[in-house]
Amino acid sequence: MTGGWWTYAPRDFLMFSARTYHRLFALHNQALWPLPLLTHAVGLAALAPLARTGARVARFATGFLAVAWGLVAWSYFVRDYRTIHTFGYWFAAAFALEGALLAGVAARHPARGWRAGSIAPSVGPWLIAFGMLGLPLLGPVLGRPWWQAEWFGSAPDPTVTATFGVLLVRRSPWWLWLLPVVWTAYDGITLWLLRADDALVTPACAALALAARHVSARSASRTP
Amino acid sequence: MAGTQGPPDVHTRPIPSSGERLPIIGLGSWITFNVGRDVEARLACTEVIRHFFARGGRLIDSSPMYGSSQEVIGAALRALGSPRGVFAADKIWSSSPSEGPTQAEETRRRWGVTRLDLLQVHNLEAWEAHLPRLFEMKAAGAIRYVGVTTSHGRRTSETERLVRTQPLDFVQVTYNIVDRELDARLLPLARDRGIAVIVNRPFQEGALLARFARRPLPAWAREFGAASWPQFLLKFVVSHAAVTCAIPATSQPAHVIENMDAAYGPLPDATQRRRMVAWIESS
Ligand SMILES: NC(=O)c1ccc[n+]([C@@H]2O[C@H](COP(=O)([O-])OP(=O)(O)OC[C@H]3O[C@@H](n4cnc5c(N)ncnc54)[C@H](OP(=O)(O)O)[C@@H]3O)[C@@H](O)[C@H]2O)c1
Repeated sequence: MTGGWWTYAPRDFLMFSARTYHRLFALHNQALWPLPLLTHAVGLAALAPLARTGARVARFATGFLAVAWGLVAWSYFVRDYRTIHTFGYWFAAAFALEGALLAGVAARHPARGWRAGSIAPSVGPWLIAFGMLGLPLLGPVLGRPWWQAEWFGSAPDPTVTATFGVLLVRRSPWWLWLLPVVWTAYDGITLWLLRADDALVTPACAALALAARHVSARSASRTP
Repeated sequence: MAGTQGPPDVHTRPIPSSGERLPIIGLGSWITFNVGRDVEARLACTEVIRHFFARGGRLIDSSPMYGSSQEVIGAALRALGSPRGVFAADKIWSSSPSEGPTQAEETRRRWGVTRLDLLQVHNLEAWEAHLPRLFEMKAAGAIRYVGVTTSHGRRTSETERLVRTQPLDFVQVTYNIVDRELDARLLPLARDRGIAVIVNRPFQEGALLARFARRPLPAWAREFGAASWPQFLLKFVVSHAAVTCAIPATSQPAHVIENMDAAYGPLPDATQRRRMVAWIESS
C-alpha cells in the first residue's frame, strides 16, 4: 500500500473490533498459562529493587527487560496479534529490536545515574509499579473479565510502561526511548478508535516519562 | 460459482455486463470477520454466513487487507458444505505489480473456491499494473468479473476516469443517506456505462446507526417495508437505480437477518427517497 496514503484516515487502519482485541488477551493467557503469571512474578522480583537501589541494579533490570521484550515479540505479536493484524510480524520485529538494544545496553554500558535531586529516579519506580501492578488490574476495574488481563512480559502495555520506569531510573540513550514511545502512540490511537475507556492511559505514562526525562536532563546540563 | 439460490422473492439486479442477477444485499467482512483463531467468534461468523445464504444472500466481499477474514469466510463455507450460490468478491491489494496473480491465487485458496467471481483493485492501489492482469485473468476464465474499489471521499475523480475509460464490470464505492456526493456524477455515469455498482459503508461503519438509534423510526417508513433503522438505511441505498447491491458488514446473526430483510418487499420510490433525505437532514 503506497499510492495515495494521504487519503487514508487513522480509522481506515483499524482492523479489528474491541471485542476481538480484548478476547485476544484471553486466548493468549489461556494458551500460555501459567507463563504470563510467571513472567509477571519474575518481572516484579527483578524490577522492584530498582525503587530502593536505583541505577546500581539497573544493569540487571535492563537485561531482564530485554528478555521481556523478546518474549512479547514472540508470544504476543508472532503467536497472536499477527492473526488479526496484517503487519503483526513488523510489530514483532520492532519489539525484538528493542529487546536487542536493551540487551546491548545492559551488556556494554554501565548504568548512569542522574544528578542528585533529579526527578527521573523518583518518577521511574512509580511507572514500574503502575505498569506491573496497576495496568493488569485496569481491565478488570473497567469491567473486562480478569482472564483478559494484560501481564508484564507477555502483553505489550505493562512491559512498555515498566520499561519507561527503568529508562528513567537508569539514564538511558534517546534511541532506547524511540520504539516504546512509538508503540504507546500507536496503542493510544488504536484504543481510542476502539472507544476504550483506558485509551489515554499508556500515552499519559509515556508523556509523564518523557517530561521527567526532559526536566532531569535540563537540570543535569545546567550543572557547572 | 454461478447459479442463484435462495427465496425467489428476494430483490435482484442484473450485472449489466452479463445479465446475471445478484441479490441487492450482500455481505461485507472488514473488521467483523477478522477474528483470528478465536473458535467461538469463528462459529458466530459461520452463523452469520449461514443466515445470509438462508435469506437469499450471495455476494460476500473481502480483501487481503482484512486480516484473517478470507480464512474465516473459507472455513465458514467449508462448514456449510460449500454453498453453490456464493458469489466470491475479493480484491488485489498490493503496490507491487508482480504480486497480483500470486495474491489472487492465495485469496482463492483461502476462500476454498474453484474460482473467484469478482476481483477488484482495492482502493485503486497500483491499478495501472493490476487492471491489465485482471482483464487477462478474466479472458482466460480464471475469474468472471473485474472491478475497482474506493471508499468515502477517496480518489473520486480518478475512479470516475476509470469508470469512463476502462471496460470494468464493477465499481465499488461508498454511498449512504448522508454521503451522497456520488449522486451527482459517478453513479449516473456507471449506469450509463453499464457498470455494476457495489455500495460499501451503507451504515457509515455503524456511525449512522448509532446516530439514529434513540430516535423513533418515522411511521411512513412502513410504506416501503422498513421496520428498523438498518432497513431504512439499506432500502435508501439499494433503491438507487444505479446500485446493484449494498454490502453491510456484521458479526451478529440477528443483524444479518435484519439486513437481509431489506432485500424483500417494497423499495422507496423517488418521492419517498426525497422524503427520507429531508427527514434525515432536518434531524
Ligand atoms: N475500499 C474498499 O474496498 C472498502 C472500503 C470500506 C468498506 N468496504 C467493504 O464494505 C463493507 C461494509 O462497510 P463497513 O464494514 O466499513 O461498514 P458498514 O457496513 O456501514 O457498517 C458495519 C457496522 O454496522 C453494524 N451493523 C451492521 N448491521 C447492523 C444491524 N442490523 N444493526 C445494528 N448494527 C449493525 C456492524 O456491527 P455488528 O457487527 O455489531 O452488527 C458494523 O459495526 C466492508 O465490510 C468491506 O467489505 C470496502
